[in-house]
Amino acid sequence: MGHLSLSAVSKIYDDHGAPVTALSGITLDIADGEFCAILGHSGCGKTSLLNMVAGFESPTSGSITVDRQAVTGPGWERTIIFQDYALFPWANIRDNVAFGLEMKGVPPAERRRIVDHHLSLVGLAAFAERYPHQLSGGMKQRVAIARALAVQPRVLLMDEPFAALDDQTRRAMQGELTRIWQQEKKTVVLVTHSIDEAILLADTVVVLSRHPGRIKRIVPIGLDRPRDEDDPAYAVLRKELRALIHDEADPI
Amino acid sequence: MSQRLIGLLLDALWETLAMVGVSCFLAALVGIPLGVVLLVTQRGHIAESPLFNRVVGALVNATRSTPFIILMVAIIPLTRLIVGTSIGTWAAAVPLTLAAIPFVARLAEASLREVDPGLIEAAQAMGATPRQIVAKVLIPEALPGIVAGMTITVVSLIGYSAMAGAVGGGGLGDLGIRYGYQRFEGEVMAAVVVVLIVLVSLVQWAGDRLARQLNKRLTAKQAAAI
Ligand SMILES: Nc1ncnc2c1ncn2[C@@H]1O[C@H](COP(=O)(O)OP(=O)(O)O)[C@@H](O)[C@H]1O
Ligand SMILES: [Mg+2]
Repeated sequence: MGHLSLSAVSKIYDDHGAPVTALSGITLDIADGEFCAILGHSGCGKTSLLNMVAGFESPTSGSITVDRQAVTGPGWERTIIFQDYALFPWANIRDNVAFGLEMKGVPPAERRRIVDHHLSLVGLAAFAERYPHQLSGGMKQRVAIARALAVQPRVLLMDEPFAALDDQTRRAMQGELTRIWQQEKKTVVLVTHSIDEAILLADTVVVLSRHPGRIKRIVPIGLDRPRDEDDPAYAVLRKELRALIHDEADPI
Repeated sequence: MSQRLIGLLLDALWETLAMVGVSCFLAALVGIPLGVVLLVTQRGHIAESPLFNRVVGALVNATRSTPFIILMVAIIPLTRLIVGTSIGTWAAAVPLTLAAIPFVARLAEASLREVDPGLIEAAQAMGATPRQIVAKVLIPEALPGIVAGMTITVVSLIGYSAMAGAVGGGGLGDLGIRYGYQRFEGEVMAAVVVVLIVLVSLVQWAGDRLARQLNKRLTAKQAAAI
């Protein structure tokens, strides 16, 4: 379960009386278990798109459904991971991961079992009693992933989750995410401005154009995982995506 | 210092502590939830209700901008209704409480507003209801700030209680005025001022300490766990 569907979705913001069209005519189907990357320059509406799927904002027109149910607000079937982790600083790692389960009213014994499973999944079983400020950025993001998965969402949303990490940690986390996704088989929508991140992780890459944000092309990535940047097919995809994105660069 | 003066001071100190203690407790009881309401009913927040927010906000502002001495006189009928008299320590607690409620509410609202919106969104995405977000995210995260706000409130109330004393509320202010001002007993006035300074310093010290501990409790807990 986790079929996400966007139909003619547009978002127009009101910027002190002046309408700003952030997104226009987004129609997109993401199958259950599919890993979809939304790729585009900064300002093309990626975050707006994710916020609407998460239910924080509503589309100006069009509709969003998950398994044919209309999205009307935030809910545990669509959890989200932010660039800055958004962990609860006063709670230890175990309690952070347990948060959504507590909200759902899962009984303590089962909660414990689910939390242990997800802490092991992200390789943090030994850190359960630590607090967020004692962890590195990569570890914090693992906690956020465990916390988001623990409530068993249908769709996992990620907004440039690794953009704040150093190069080496980012690569490690991309590997981790691939492994976790292969194990959990969740529908994932990941927003990124990195071409490599999109090719490394996704089944399909949705390229957005700017002003207004529209779907420019949907590029399937047919490569086996784990993906190898030295693969000639990888280079072809990178070239294709770079050309699509390059068109969008500021004309200065 | 004479035995008589010490007796007077102790009685007055007790009255001040009673007045401030009761009104502070009641003000926290009403003011903190009111601060939560002021924040979460704002447009775009977790329980938005702009009209309600505007009405409550206007009431809070009106109470806050009424000078205390006028408030005290204006609500005498209400005070009589609640404590049966408009004179004395318990009668003074009524206007003190009423003056402190909007003060606490605005300070609590300001602390709650500081909470990272990302934490609220993360909680919402995990299915937390507005009530759960208040109890499990907003209050825990804003607690050190709320404690600091309550400290400011206690200190201000000590000052206001001296004013309430001037109209028969008893307490240190009353003592200072009756003996120090009206009877020219400078020693009493000086003693009252010293006691007030010590009292305020103690409250500030204790409040700062508690706020700091709440802020640091994570590190402390962790230090114990390692
Ligand atoms: N709340 C808002 N009010 C007005 N304009 C907004 C708002 N949020 C985003 N925008 C505008 O919409 C466009 C898309 O923003 P965003 O979705 O954040 O893009 P991205 O995440 O791809 O960088 C930008 O031009 C931005 O200025
Ligand atoms: Mg963005």
